[in-house]
Amino acid sequence: MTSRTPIIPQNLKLLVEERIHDDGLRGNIRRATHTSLGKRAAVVEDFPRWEEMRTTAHDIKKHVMDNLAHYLELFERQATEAGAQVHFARDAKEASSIVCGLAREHGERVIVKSKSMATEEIHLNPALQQSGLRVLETDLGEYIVQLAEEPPSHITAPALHKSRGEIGRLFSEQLGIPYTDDPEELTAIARRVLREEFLQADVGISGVNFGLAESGTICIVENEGNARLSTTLPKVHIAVMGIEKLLPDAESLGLFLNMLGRSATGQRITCYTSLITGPKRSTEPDGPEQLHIVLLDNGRSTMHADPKLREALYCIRCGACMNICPVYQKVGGHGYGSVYSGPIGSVVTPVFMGEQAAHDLPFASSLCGACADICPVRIDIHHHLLDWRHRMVEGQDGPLLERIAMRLFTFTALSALRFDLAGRLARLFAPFLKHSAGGMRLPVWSETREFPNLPEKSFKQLWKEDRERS
Amino acid sequence: MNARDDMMKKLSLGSRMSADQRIADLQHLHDRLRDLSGGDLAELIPLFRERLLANGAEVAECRDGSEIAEALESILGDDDRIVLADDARFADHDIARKLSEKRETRRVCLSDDGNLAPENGGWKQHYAGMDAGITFAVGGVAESGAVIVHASPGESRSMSLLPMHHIALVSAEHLHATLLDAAPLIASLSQRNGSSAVTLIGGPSKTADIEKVLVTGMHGPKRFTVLIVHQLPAGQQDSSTPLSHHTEG
Amino acid sequence: MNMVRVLERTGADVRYDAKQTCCGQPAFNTGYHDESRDMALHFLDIFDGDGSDYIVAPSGSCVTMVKVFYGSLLELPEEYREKAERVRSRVHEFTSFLVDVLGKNSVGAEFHGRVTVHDSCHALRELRIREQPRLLLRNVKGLELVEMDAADVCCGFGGTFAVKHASVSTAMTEEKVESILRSGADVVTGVDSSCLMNISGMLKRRGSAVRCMHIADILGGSGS
Ligand code: SF4
Repeated sequence: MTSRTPIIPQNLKLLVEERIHDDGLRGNIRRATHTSLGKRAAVVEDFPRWEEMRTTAHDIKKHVMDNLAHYLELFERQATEAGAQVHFARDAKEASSIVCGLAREHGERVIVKSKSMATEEIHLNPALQQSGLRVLETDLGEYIVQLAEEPPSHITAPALHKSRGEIGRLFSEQLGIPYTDDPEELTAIARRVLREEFLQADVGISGVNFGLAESGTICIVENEGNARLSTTLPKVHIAVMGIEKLLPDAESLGLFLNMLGRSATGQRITCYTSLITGPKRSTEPDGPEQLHIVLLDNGRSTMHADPKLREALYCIRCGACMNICPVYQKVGGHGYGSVYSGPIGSVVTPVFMGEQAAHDLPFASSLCGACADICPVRIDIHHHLLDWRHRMVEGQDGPLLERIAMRLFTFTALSALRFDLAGRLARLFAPFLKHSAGGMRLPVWSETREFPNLPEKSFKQLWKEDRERS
Repeated sequence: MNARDDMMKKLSLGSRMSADQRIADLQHLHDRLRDLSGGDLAELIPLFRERLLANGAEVAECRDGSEIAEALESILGDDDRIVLADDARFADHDIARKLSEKRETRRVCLSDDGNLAPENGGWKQHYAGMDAGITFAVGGVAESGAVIVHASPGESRSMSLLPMHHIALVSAEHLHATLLDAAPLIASLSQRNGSSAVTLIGGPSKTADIEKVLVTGMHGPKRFTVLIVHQLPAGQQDSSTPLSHHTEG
Repeated sequence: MNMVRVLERTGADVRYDAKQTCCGQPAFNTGYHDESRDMALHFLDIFDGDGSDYIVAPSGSCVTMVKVFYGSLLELPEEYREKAERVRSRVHEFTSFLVDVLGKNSVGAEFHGRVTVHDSCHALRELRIREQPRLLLRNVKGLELVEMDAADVCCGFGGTFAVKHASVSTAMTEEKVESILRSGADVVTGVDSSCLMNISGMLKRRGSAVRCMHIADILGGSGS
């Protein structure tokens, strides 16, 4: 497979401008996110105490984060005792070089991968390819975007932006088969092609949804069965796991599984939930002989050290905040130019990609707060965006004009007299502004919307007149 | 400093709870979890059935061991080639023999030492051509509509994954109300001297990656059937089960 | 003025301090905490100990700023914390004040028309105001309340967002306007003028006859 074109934007706005007018794209995203939301709403009703479950989930994550060093050590010890080999990676480069090293050692033919945001985050595929290895994404959505040489656009539905016709053409071109746009047939084709690859593969790479500290178990949830295949058929299984994925034990997992499936895809439980503890036992008939777990930091310990940002580590990557986000619904995952898109993506990307590169992301939100309301672990996502805005402005990053405008406004508002005067002036000039707005900055807004008619009199004037009358 | 110590050091700066505090805090969280589990779902079987069906699974029921063969007959096609778990309960009531009369039947293990010999890739093909894998689940979760299977000497991971149809037998007595109620079982199976792979299965393999259209059989089984057996003796899988010797194809 | 009228109709003694200006939200939302803080302190100085029992504002957004953000997301100097605490407990959004504080379901208003409610984000998600305006509207004589689909979805304004990401903002407002038009209402109302101004801008651009009215203007009215 050829490598993907990484999209690293200077500025989110650029990506938005070309995407927002793509009606096909907006339709695809809209359909997909609305389907997920509808299904979610139906199964959340199973639990009359859903809100309490969210609070408990939040508190369990908080407990883990407040004791992260302990749980990480416990996890390492238990996993090692069970026969797994545990590796630590400080950053993306370290992680990908560990995985590439292991893969080179064991992977002569093909490496099969099941969907994982952590491996996207460390840009593993290009690194593997540079090592001369053939790596195959096996989740259908990921397979599609890999064939199309695009990055995934949604955490749980990577090809959400593509229509069946586009996929049909892609398959026909890339696999040399007759065109069909029937999802059933397209799926069967992908199964056939990928099953052959699975049977050949020497190394399987997966992500991890949860790590159970108590037993050193990794938990992977999925619907297709490709994660099971990737972690069962090849001789070597390499799992890349962000250190924030830890839970204390199976009891906590019970709660999180109930919430993840429902929030992500509107399922009571995903088809397969694999709990893997060490490699195959000698008495078991099948399974990998080696299990490697790569524990990834890559900025997480920095977030952990920050009392505010720490909460962003509670995220279980369910994608619900994306589905509900009106901005995401308009621009899609690629619009954000980051591995992690949507509201939570805008919170964590400044950590992963640097404040400079991600500068625009926290501002790309109307701060409506729908994300925080739906988040199963109650992360106050939009408040974190506000916090980032502040940090970025503090870092002297604010545009000069905006800074001056804010100063001026403050200066005005600190005195009732000045505030009054400004109000009068605005009312006086508003009609001219409206008509001669062409070259000004504000009219970006009023290109599509009428500038409001300001009332003829301020409240203060009205109040005065009213009181004088009575 | 190596990566491990470096990371641990940074993290321990932000983890300040004492061991006692941590244990008390976790205890408190467990109490809250138990309170949430609300396991007084009286009628587990109907709920289990309803939820499995909603997940896209098929459900059958029978009374006891004597009816299993018949029940499986009605689930299987006449010329389905099948893989059976190595479980003594398949020898009871002649189940294995009855099933293998009509159809090609394989057992889990290929080689004489009871091992699938992974270094020899041939075992993978062993399942690939098979139509159905029949396993015993160690439990079911009614609220979720899922069964719990695990890798063991008598049951491979592949038999519930590679064939187009997976049939899981589960004892009605082993139903749990919710995932929270099943947690102790999952924890005990996932010990380091337990099973390397415990899997919750909640339906047939499926995808909705193309325009959110649901298609089953993406990578794993296209059909998933749960046979609820009202009275089933406890299992002790054993690879040396005298399975009426399979008819290799 | 309509809010004042409604409040006085309930028997409240309404005062207005002409020294007041702004709560500081615009600067806060854009990340300019220093500027915002200056305004917040000004706000607190004016309202703390001004002798009134309650502070009522016809804007969910401004109330959110004072009730939710002061002191939590916007750090205040030590000597202002208690002040903020006192003021916070006295600040109420207009409809929530009528329903939750005064226990009124009806203000004896009359209004003829089909009205739909847009839930403003701050009011809905920070202050949990959803039923209060609907309850009051249902008891307005002559008023028919109709629900639009996705009433709780953001209108796309978001202050500087509407300028910084104008095209996304526009797309969101378009969807909001479509929901409004589908509802068949002839008036759209809400508890925040900023959203209504934004929505009204697009309705006018489209030449629609649907009007935007702040809920105080409906509750204060005695006709259509
Ligand atoms: S922030 Fe919350 S809603 Fe968004 S992906 Fe993470 S867990 Fe899900």
